[in-house]
Amino acid sequence: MGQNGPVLGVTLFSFTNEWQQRLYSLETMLAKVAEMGLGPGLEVVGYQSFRTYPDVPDAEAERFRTLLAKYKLTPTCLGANIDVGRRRDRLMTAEEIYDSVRRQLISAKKLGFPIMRVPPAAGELALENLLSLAEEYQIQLAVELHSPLNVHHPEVVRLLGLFERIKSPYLGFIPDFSTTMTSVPEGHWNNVRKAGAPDGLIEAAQAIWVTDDPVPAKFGALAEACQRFGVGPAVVGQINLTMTMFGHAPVEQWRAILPYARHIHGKYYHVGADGVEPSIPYAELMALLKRTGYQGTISAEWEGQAFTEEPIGFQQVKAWRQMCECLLEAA
Amino acid sequence: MGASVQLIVQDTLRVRPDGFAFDVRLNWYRSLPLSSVEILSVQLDGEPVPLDQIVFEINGHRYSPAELLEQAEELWFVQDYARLSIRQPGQVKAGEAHTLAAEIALRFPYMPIGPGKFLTNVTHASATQVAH
Repeated sequence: MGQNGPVLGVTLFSFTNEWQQRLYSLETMLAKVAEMGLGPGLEVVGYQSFRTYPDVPDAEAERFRTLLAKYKLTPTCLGANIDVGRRRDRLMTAEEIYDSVRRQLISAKKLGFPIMRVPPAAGELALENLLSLAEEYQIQLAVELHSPLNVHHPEVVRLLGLFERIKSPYLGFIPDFSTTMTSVPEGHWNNVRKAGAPDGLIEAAQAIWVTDDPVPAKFGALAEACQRFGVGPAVVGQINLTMTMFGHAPVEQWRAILPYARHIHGKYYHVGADGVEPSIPYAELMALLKRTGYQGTISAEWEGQAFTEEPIGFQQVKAWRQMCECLLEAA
Repeated sequence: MGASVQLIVQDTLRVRPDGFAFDVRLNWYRSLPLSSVEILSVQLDGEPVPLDQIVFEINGHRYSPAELLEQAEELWFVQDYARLSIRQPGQVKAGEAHTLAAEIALRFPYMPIGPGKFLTNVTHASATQVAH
């Protein structure tokens, strides 16, 4: 483990249904992760797991670290957010963004996380300013590359340029597999159908999705199709997610990013009884990681809660785990 | 976390001296600033409740729907229920069954989708409950 390929783990985000339905406390959830062998890597979303976030009181941070030690889990990544639109009348100022990240870095340090996920919204300028803070706290700042951001997106090109120029171990990316999907999950089409979309429109959306057109062009084509079928705003809102949640870039695009990858989000929607995620090419992805010698961490990130309220997170993470172990073994 | 989840918490309809109240949950994976929460509508047995008769109770505080939009620092923790308290004395009596409906928009303040625009989800839910 560790020296011979990626280190597997989980983000508690995968257990959002269980958490929301108050089926677990932080302690019982960590105990369950350990008991099912889903570690050692353990990631959390700050604004999900801690009531007082972006700050975490010393005593609570201490309790968290004690629990991780008790259950032999290793803190991998703290998911930070920047609520730039928290005020309705204006966006956060540059100072407020800096302060928000600073407070979250302090929490990451207290909780023992070596990496903090930041959104691309931080921007290159802010990242350059934040670098000295990251160095001071010795926490890597990693920008999540989530669909629809792919390697050709202007924002990503700029960030890659910055990372190549600065070459700091404290700056990098977190690839999220939502960027490189081969089909749209069936659960999404169920949601779209429930919202009232006719089958013809769903077929049209599928045909638009599989093209390699840029995202804005896809939105244009989709808007046209929605108009042709005369659907209302509820359908439009739901069907628009097709083009943002699920990216359609080739797996090979990660080759340029991987040298700067600090951690990976193993995004998925469903691993079936056959041990396959039908929408995301895990065999290809695991083979790429093995071939390129990626030694970092990967979190199982089950996002099926977008389609179901069933508390099946633990079962799904177990299935993901078995799938990845098999594929890494075979690769 | 689709658009039609059970937003209204089961068996929470309560009679109050100044009206009635019921609990709603946060239909998102993370806590949000209260300013992200917009109460679009509440209905009792199909009758719309005027917005100025609604009070949103959370963290021991009480806010009107308009005041809620100004609370950028206070969070709705993802595991907490918020209580919608409706000032309509006598409308709901103990032992009666009533149909509640609520529509809440959540504006995700960390997901900008254009100048001054943020990804926003609207959840609509209804439930029939016996008041206690």
